[in-house]
Amino acid sequence: MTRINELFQEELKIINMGLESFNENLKKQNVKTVQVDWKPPTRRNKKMLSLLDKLK
Amino acid sequence: MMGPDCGTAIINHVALAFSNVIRKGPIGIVGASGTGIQEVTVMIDKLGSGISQAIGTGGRDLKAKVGGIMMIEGLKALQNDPLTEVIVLISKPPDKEVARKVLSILKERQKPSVVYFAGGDPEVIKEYGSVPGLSLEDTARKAVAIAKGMSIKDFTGFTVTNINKIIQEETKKLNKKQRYIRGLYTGGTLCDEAMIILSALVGDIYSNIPLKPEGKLSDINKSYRHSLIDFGDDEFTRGKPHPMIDPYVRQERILSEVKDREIAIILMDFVLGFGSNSDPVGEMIPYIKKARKIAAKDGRHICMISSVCGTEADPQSLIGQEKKLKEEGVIVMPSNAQAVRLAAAIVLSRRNSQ
Repeated sequence: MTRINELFQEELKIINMGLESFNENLKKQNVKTVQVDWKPPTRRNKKMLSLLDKLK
Repeated sequence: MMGPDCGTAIINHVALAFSNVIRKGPIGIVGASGTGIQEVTVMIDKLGSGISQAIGTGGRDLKAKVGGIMMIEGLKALQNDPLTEVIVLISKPPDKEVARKVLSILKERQKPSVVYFAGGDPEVIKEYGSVPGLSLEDTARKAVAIAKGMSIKDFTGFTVTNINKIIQEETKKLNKKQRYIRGLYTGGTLCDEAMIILSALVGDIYSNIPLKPEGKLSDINKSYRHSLIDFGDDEFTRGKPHPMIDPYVRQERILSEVKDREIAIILMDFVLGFGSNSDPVGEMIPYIKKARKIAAKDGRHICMISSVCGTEADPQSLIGQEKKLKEEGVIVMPSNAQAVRLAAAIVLSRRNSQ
């Protein structure tokens, strides 16, 4: 048996980092989740920051 | 742990990130390919079977530098899983040695298996006692046949009954100069699959993710002859949402493609399920209309062919999405493989009628 087989036997508990819509979809499936707000580093690039804001 | 480039899995029937709602069943999948897993699971569901687990490894897992470590772990887990009766392995074009390493582990403990390694040699897969899938749809069909105890047959045709009529009618609408296919893809493995099928039928294919280095587009924003574009590749998605979430890049691209008087066919995938845009077809419809208008100005018809990767249980409704496309005159095929074959058949029919 592998660690993955142990996972198959358990209730899933998921940490979702970043894109919040993925977390919302998990909630719709009644899965226990923790949302961590995270964005990739942008190195102060304004254009990149505005694009990443659209990910919210 | 899932992350960039590893965006699809169904574990314990929970759809993670980009995944569809698939019924439970005896087929377990490990895939180094997101949309590859999506297309195969959707086809399995449509064929009346279901899945035990679908483990996504990320598309680079079978590259030489990674060595298939996650696929091997996933495969061992499915070999030990009592609910998995048939194993399916899927990968984007793999490193040959890594592919053999994975296949040798598959051979160790015999559960029946079907393998789709894009661009791989079916004979090598047979050597290791597994059944080669010739396309993603064919892979699903063979896995379901094994699960149901039916005979295994290659499927390389169509399930649409009036296919010859469609080919004839679309060929007639094209003028003599129209000869090229442009594939606008959001799914990388769907694009890979399309290139493999098309290159065997119509010749050289150009792309941002080519099968061979000489097929690389010098400018990814400009198509050349038969071109298939994967908008989900890093060059398009750096700093931007994936096109399955935000179809902006494809919306713009369809308008520039139709200005080329030599194009005959636009080929598109639409991927439903959790994670994807809530109305991927609806997002494209205004641009499909605009594209048709651009072509109509100089009397050209553009043949538009699509497939929708999704189930009726998905949040977006498969039937509703397909209906919207049909209302705009877009031909909707039951799988990506069939959509691609239809595109090739029309181009060849156009070629032969000159």
